[in-house]
Amino acid sequence: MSLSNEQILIDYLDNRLEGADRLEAEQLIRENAAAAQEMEALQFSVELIREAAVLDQVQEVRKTFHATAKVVTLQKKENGAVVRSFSKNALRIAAMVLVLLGAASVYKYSVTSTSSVYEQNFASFELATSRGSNNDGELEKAYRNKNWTAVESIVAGQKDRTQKSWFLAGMAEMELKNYEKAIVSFDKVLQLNQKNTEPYFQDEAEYYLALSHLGAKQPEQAVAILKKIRSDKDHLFYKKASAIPAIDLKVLDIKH
Amino acid sequence: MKAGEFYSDEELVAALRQNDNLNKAILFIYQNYSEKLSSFLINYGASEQEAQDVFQETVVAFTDIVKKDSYRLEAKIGTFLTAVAKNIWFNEVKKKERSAFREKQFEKGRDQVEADVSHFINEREMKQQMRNLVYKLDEPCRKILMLFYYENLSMKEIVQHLPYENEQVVRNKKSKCLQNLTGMVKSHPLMANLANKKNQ
Repeated sequence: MSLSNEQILIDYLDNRLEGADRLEAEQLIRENAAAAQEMEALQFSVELIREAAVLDQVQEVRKTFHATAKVVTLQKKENGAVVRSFSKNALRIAAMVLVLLGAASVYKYSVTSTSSVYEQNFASFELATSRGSNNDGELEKAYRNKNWTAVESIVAGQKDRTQKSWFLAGMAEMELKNYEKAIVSFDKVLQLNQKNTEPYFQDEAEYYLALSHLGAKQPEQAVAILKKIRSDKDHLFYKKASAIPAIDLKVLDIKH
Repeated sequence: MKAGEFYSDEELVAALRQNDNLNKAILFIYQNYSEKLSSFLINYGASEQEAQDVFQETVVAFTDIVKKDSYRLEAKIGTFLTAVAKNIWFNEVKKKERSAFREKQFEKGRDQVEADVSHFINEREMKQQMRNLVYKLDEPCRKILMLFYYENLSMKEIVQHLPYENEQVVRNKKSKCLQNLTGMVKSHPLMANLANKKNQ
């Protein structure tokens, strides 16, 4: 196919030929097989161009359509998500609670110590008048007068120290913040009770022994005794020991 | 692009014939038939992506059929689109040599409209495969050919759109681009097969 014939066919395709020129082109297509084939290929090429243009447009609309559909779906989800929003809020609240609990735990951990538990739970022992023998008059008087050093001296001077003597001596040592000495005194009470059929000051000695261990920064022993008391409803100090928050005991356990 | 435009079947066909409203008309087809037809194709074993691709090809084919005045409104557009989509998918299945079971299933459900559109689809198969030749042209060529043959702009108007000196330069450029494309078309194996069939 010559270049001039090819141009004639293109001009014919583009509808640019008129009159004799147009007739000449039609004759060429009719009589020349190569020209007819060329014309067919040109027409097919133009169809491909139009097809590609439509495809471009459809692809553009497809993109817009799916992008819009996505936005609509998201909006529907957001709007329909009163429940979802609620659950989101619930999750937020739960997260906040967890954070607060975490913070509280950290705070609790930092402020709980043997000293703090001791301070919160120590109360001076009030000596009942009915307890003890008349021989303890001097000791009782010193104790009631809160003369702790006198209590120490009187007990130290006794030849036969009873559970009461040891217990009051232990309480005096606690008041004087001599916790190690207090521990020794309360242990004596417990030892004597093991030898006697009738225990005296057993429950008192156990409770204050636990507190003395706290005072002496010996949480392991203190917690063990407190747990024992908490497990015995008949113990005189059950309520007091149970009033100590379990988390405090846990913290003491972890810290030791 | 305005969403929510409504077209009756007749109005939609008219809109597809006019390039001015083509985007709106195509969007209307997507809005009204995309989901239904995609579900339909998925039932026939297409993946979601395949269903979307077949639907896109269906819209291109339908637009082409309408532009050529080959659509006669004897069937509703929805029915016609379904038939076109089903034929395109069937050809895809055949090409990919999917299970014979699916083909049998397809053949069982084939109705008259589908049989009618199948000849459009066979012709389109070749176009679809050769369409890529247009994208092998460089960007200026593709643009000039699309502006002239699809947008129907005159040489004078094209000069205003593209950086060419005058109408004659545009005309020469356009002829050269078309010749390039036609050269690729003639040497494409599918075109050679077609020529051989005609000669036999």
